[in-house]
Amino acid sequence: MVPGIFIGVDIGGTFTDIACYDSSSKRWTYGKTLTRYPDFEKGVIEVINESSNDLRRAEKLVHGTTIVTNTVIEGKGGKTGLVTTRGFADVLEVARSDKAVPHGHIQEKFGPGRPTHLVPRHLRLEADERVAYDGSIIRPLDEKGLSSVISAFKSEGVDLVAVSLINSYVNPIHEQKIRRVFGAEYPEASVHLSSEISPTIREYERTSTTVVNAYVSKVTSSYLSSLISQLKTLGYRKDDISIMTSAGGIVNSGIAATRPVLLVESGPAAGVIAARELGMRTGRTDVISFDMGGTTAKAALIDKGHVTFSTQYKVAALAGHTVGRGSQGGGYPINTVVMDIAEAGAGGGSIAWIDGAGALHVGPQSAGSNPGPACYGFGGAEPTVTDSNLMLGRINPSSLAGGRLRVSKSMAKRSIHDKVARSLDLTDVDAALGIIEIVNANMVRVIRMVTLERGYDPRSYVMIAFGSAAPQHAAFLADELQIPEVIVPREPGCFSATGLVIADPREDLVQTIMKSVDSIEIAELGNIIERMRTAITQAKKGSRRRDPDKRIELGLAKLSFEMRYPKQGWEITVPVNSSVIDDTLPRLLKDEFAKIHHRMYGYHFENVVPVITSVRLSLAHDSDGSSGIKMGTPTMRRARRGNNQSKDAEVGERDVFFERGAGKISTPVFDRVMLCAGDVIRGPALIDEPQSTSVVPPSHRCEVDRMGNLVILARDRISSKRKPGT
Amino acid sequence: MTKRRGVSTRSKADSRIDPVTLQVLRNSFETACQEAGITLMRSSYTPMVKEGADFGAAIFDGNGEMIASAGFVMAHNVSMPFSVKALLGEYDHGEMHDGDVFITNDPYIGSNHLPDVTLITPCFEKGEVVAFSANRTHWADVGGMFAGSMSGTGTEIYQEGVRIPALRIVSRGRMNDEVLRLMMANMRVPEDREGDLRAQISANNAGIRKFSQIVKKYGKGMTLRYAEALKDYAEELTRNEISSTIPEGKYESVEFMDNDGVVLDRMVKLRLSLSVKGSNLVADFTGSDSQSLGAANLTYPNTVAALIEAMRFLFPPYIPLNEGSFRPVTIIAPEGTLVNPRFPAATALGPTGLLKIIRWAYFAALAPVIPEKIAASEYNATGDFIASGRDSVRNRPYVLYTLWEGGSGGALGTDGMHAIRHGVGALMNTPVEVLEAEYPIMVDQVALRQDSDGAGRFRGGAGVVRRYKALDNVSWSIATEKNRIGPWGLFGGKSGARSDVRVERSEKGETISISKMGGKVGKIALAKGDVLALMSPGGGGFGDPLSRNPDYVSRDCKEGYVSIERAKEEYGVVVDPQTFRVDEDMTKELRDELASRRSAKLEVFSYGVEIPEVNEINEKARRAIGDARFHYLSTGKNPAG
Repeated sequence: MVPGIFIGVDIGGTFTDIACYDSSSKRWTYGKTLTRYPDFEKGVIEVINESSNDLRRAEKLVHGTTIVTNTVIEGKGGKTGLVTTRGFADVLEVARSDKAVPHGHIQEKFGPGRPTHLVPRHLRLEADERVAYDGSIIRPLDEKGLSSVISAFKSEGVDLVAVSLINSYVNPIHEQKIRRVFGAEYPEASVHLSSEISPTIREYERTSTTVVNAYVSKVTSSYLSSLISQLKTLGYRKDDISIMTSAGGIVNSGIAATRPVLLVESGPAAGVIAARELGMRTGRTDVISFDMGGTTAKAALIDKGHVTFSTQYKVAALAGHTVGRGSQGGGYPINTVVMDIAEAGAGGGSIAWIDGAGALHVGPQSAGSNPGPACYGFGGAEPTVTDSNLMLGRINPSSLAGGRLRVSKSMAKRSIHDKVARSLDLTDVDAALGIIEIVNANMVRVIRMVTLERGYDPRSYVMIAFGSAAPQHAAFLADELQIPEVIVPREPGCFSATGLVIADPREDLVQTIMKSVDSIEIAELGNIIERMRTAITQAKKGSRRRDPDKRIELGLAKLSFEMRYPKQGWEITVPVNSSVIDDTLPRLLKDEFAKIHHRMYGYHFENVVPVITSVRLSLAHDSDGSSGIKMGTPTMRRARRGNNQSKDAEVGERDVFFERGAGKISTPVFDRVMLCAGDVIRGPALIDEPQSTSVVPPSHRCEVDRMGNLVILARDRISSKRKPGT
Repeated sequence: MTKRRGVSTRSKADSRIDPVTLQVLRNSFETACQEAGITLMRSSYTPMVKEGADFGAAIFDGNGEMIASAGFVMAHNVSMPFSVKALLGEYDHGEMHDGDVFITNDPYIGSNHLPDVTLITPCFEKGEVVAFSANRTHWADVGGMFAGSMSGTGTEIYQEGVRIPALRIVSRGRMNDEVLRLMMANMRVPEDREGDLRAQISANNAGIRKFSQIVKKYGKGMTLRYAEALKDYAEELTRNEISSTIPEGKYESVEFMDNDGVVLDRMVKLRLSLSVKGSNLVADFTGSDSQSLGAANLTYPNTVAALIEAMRFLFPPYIPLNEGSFRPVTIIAPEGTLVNPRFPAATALGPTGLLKIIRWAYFAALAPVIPEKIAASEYNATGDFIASGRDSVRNRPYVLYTLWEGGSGGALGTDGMHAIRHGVGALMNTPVEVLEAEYPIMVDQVALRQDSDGAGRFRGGAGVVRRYKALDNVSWSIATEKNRIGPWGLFGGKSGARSDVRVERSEKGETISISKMGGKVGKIALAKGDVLALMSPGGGGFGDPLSRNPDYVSRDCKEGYVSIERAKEEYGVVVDPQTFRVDEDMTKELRDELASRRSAKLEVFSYGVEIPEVNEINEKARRAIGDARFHYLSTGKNPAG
């Protein structure tokens, strides 16, 4: 590894976080600052400055960004035009004919209606052409007719153009011709082809993907170049930075600017990468990654070291509706490989409220960072999860956001009293416990979505909990789902930023193929894979060999297939765990598909041959010398001799409420920085660190492993599990 | 704060119910239904299910009372308890075994119509039935006279397909092959039907798996106690909404279908009288037409479903949909009428046609009372389009069921939406590319229909144009509404454009208007190259179109939703065809002229055609609202002076 520093900067809704690894000193440093709206780069520069790292020594900077999502939510993208097949200009507006909220019959922006269209109707123009479902050409493209389209765009000042023709996922030739004509007649326009951005079936989702891509491309590229030039004035010597994709890969700023749809879940993906890596480092391949911040809780599953992916996502949708098709939950669908991350509006800032029949709800509305929870004293009057945790003694009043915020316990108490306890006729403490119980139930649902609902049993997974709010809730969630152990990494609030530093450069492409497993030809598949490899421009020409008709060596590439029975509409992902594929592939795919289908649905058909709808290639390429960075082995004191129960890390105690009716329990508080590997703490206990508090409930215990992670176990499960940290 | 009328303030009888646990269990129950639904959607064979989410999923207690349900299509969920209770009338708990699955599609005991097939699986705990998981979805065919089993041209249910009483299809985990063979022998494309059946069984398993986990965790007694409490909770929320949002009184409306599919020259008339007293709501359908000769009839369970669904549209979505939420509602549906037909009346069009007519009759009744909450009519035009035949390229028979979308109505403060699906909008259309990849049909166009909006101060949304070209011999079975009258406009708003359905014969160049044939045909054969052209209605407008902000009209012209000519005729706005600027002087002049030329009074409901019953309703509504308020709603201005 080259000497120097490797930096990860992650922008979240409330905070911008940094994690830096210095390969000379082998030290990690972390930092946090408030996210700056709308000039996100200011927050990035600020957090780098504050981290007192010398940018001149930076070898690599990886960025997790919310720029794409924010641009769409705020409607601040560039002026975009759309070219479609004649007869289909309205595909974008007819959409899937569903509403954002199923109930209700009156339009509102994010109510029962649909989000405004990114391309107004007069900028959706048609080309005369038609390709059939099998790729044959029914009507050739009228190239001359494009002149009027081009002049209309010119006169309207449209220089971002999305092209999405019917069935272009099978045969892209007309889209390519359109780009050539634009190249000749309107070279200033940036042209985005659906057949490149997302060569997958379903015209609305593909068109929407292409439009979103075009719409945010200019903003993304100017943001990135502004960030790079500001970094350079601070001494950054590299020409480029890296950006994390929603699939957990890393791309350069050039690819990020031309294919910004890759970046929608940039930050959350980094968290999953970090969880996977931490799992690997501690010998755990089956992991539930759980991230809870200010507004949302996110869960993802890592099974046998593999992250699961989804290929459908909705940008700017309501929490809980980001995966799926159509308009439900609002938002703009995009086809892009996104880690299969379930989320819900459940975070520290989630607001508790009472409905008309006097029942308690929590979220999905969040107080965000402004006004924030009542205890922040910024004027928020609504009681939140953070207020409840504070009232129950579970968090350290002086440690929120690294001590940047002075919080008021009395304001928290007042809001809970006024808005919840009084109307429910509960004590303030019981009301706060109720809020926690309900938000926990909402988060249990999120974890269920990626485990039980997909046919995975949470009892055989380990939860890795991060984000500053997660460590207060994780042990309770684990109990609910009988997850045997919870791991809280060091600096849980900056864990995603850590993921940015350790992620491998990697890219994913999806190509629709629509063939029965029995009619797939290995040679043809080889050609498809080659084309995809070439399309990943950053890919190194890794070792590979192809012997026509026989076998394909995948080298560094990982292959998976989206498959279903011929008449189903939803695919199952079937990964190929092999570096070589050959004539045995069809048999293998059929067996694997049957196995997975059976696990998910409880049945499969022996005599129905599944179809492959698309193939996904994921290519890792170690091109920048960053591989081999090890996750935070912090400066830690040596393990203590003897068994003194970590007494000297005990810094005080707080009264904590754990259960309704059980009263308060005087609970010892430990300083995490002073803990040593091998320390064992019996619950109830609180472990404070600058940005977070971990709660070890009664009848649980916590062990500190060699990396400094907290491993929390319920006592009745301790005997049945292996030693942590070995 | 609004004073609550008639809501009992008693604290819930059972003091062992804790409000927090109640929400936790509610989430758990709904998750069970969600899991069942998602399992069904992901493994189904039918485009309407896999792409469109046309299904319902719910769990029931041992008495067949619905405890919880999951989103998707509400009408399926609300009538499902009738099916479960009917099953319990046939078999008692002792006759059920772990691993049994029951099936029914009989509309007379709770199904919507024959193609909606319900699967019911008992959930056992320690050898006892504690609950049922059930789901219902629309099969693309269940036999009968025409492919798709949705022909509006039948006169008896026997013509519409195979009727399956509540019976055991899986016994202790083993498929009842004999029943299955009998069913499959009478349905088109049986292998697809079997795919759907397996998916539905699998979905119920997901539901009971989750329910068993809940019972294991909380114990049977506590689980069922909270299930009961959840019903009370839903009832209380519903009562609060009724009493706080609808003033006490009696409100009337009338709605229509074009015809019943058999007697084509007579409209089908529905009358609704809605009484609200305290927190109770009574819906009386007395005065509606007798049951129709054709298939317009809606069996009683669906009439209940239609009314509950309509009511819930105006209430917040967090009210749990369970049996408790039905309690405040009383339905009076005289036997032998459209809304409670006697066996064996045909019922294919009931759920797609009359069910929505009831919904809009409900809204119409309330429009004069709570005008700020009610939009003008949505396109409300049924729209069952079923293609069938033998695909010579793929060498297989097929049945394809598709729907159409249309405009929603304008409402106080907002225009209608373009191209939305009826009612509870979780239903999605089938992508053109998916359709073309699987069936011998090419789609030439999917576009918004210009000038289809009902003009108004807040205009209706646009309908949609769809053109399906046959690539092989294709038969279509078609049922549509709003060929005769438009979706009503409200408070001076105009009705939306009517349906326009045609078959274009490529060889002779002739066009056949299905709309003029009553909008319903059991089967029309298209040869290769022929086109089925659909133009769906737009939504009705709200308020006087001459009061519409001219800038909105100009924007609609620029975006092509409204033509320059129609901007003049309907809205009285003169828009420059090049710059789309409004000529203010000419607009004022034109508006004055149009206002002076038109008949004295604007109507509360406008259908675009003269209907005597509507005149009578309009008179009453106008009196109820009063001139000043009508003027304000219609124009946004208070009367001069």
